[in-house]
Amino acid sequence: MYIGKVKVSNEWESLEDLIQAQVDGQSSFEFADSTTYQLQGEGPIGVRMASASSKPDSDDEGERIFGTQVAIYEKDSGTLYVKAEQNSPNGQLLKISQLG
Amino acid sequence: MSLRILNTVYLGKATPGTGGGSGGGSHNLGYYVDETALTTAHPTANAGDFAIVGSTDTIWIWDDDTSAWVDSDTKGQVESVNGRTGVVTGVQDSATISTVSAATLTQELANNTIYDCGELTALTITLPATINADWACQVNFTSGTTPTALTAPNTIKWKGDDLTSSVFVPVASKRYAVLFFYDGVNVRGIVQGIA
Repeated sequence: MYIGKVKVSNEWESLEDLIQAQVDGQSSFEFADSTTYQLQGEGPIGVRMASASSKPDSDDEGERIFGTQVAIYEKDSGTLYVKAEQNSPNGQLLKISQLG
Repeated sequence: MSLRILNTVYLGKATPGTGGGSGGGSHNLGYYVDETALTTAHPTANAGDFAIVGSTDTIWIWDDDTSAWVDSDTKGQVESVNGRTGVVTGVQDSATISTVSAATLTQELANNTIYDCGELTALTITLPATINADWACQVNFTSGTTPTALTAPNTIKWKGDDLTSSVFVPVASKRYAVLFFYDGVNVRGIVQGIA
């Protein structure tokens, strides 16, 4: 199930917060337990992702995807933070879908 | 048809599991050559289960409402788990951005690099001794009221704005973006200048 698309900036931000702020009808969105989500980039600049208890301090934490590469995410005890690898005027687009 | 799955990233509890079941992190039922192989191996599944089908190069999702596999038409991208197994191919790192604050730049152009310059009075570029087929780079700079003095190898084949006798000569008061790439025979320089 397609959830929506968000613009990811060059700063670490909670993906839940971005979805709540940017996707119509998802102002209360939270990742559900035992549910798998697909995160897919759009555009040439990579998106870095980290599941952590607090906002990462450094730019190279977590995992990164390039182009239209896919990440599979299932909620754990942390918060999923995302950031674009580089500054971009329009941000980097990230598409979020629920696989089940 | 084979599926090129390149470097899937798993986050949180998600894992590249191959088993069934509805528990956390085990919804991925793995890779199947075609729909028949998938439905034979898993005639039924649990809500949230998904699998990769090679014949369609897509992810198939178990639809609990209709008790059937549904082609999500979502392309997979990755063949191995990042840093875990498999061979990562076809993935190119983001370009290196080199910010230049000096008024002059003398530079051997490095592959996959963007030289982001301010106003330059002089720009001298050289080419690497060895250039591979995938070599490319970009130079962005501003030519001020006194035009930037450009010195470049005469082997570069220029195309675009502000060419004099087929050679790029920056004019005053323009912002230039110059893309350099190798076509297998020549290095080309594609110029766009905006006043």
